[in-house]
Amino acid sequence: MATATIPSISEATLSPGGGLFAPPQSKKPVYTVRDVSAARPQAVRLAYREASPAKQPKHVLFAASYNPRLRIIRAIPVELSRRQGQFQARFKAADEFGVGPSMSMALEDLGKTLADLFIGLSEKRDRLGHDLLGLHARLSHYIAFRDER
Amino acid sequence: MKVHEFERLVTKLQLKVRDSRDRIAWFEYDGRVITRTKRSHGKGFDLPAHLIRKQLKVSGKEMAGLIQCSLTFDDYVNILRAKKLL
Repeated sequence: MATATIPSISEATLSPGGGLFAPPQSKKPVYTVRDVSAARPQAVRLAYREASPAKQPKHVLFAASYNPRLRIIRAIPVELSRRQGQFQARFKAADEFGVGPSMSMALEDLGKTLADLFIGLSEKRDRLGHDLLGLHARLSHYIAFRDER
Repeated sequence: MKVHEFERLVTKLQLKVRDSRDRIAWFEYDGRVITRTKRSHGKGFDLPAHLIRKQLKVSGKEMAGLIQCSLTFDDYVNILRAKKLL
């Protein structure tokens, strides 16, 4: 399939009649010489800075389930803090917490604790004081048993 | 809070404990479960006293009293009663 070659402005030349005509195609390479002596590029120094550490979030929404009997029906708002080299993840509404040497381990501890607590409260439901009954109700906004669909 | 201080609370408040992933402790009174707390089995770091005392529904001063023997089991019951948790 033949393709028409459109000459660029620099390649095109005016014919004696004033029309544009393309120079004959040549297989010879074309070299252009540029004088770079006048404008010598300035030396550039690259300085590498150590990336500033990512800021630790103070709040996260947490929805990992650590017990196959349970499912998380709403993300749990968690406060994160660091004390004495330990990370603490706290679910304030339930006064429950997880601790660990890293943020993810503190969150994992909290997730497992919440799962244990929810199951424990559900099993003891008929014997709970009103404060723990309230806690169970608050947890039920976020956690449910899988068979309770 | 150190582990032995937590254990002093367990003994003094006659908390029912269950050892699983963590050591979970429940305070029961008249057959009802009133408060709960926990500590991890990990060693080498302090337990978060301010979070444990919130779970046990006591102030910092009351917590110190419970650990340092100036408050008794009956005092704790009275604290919970005053907060209408019993």
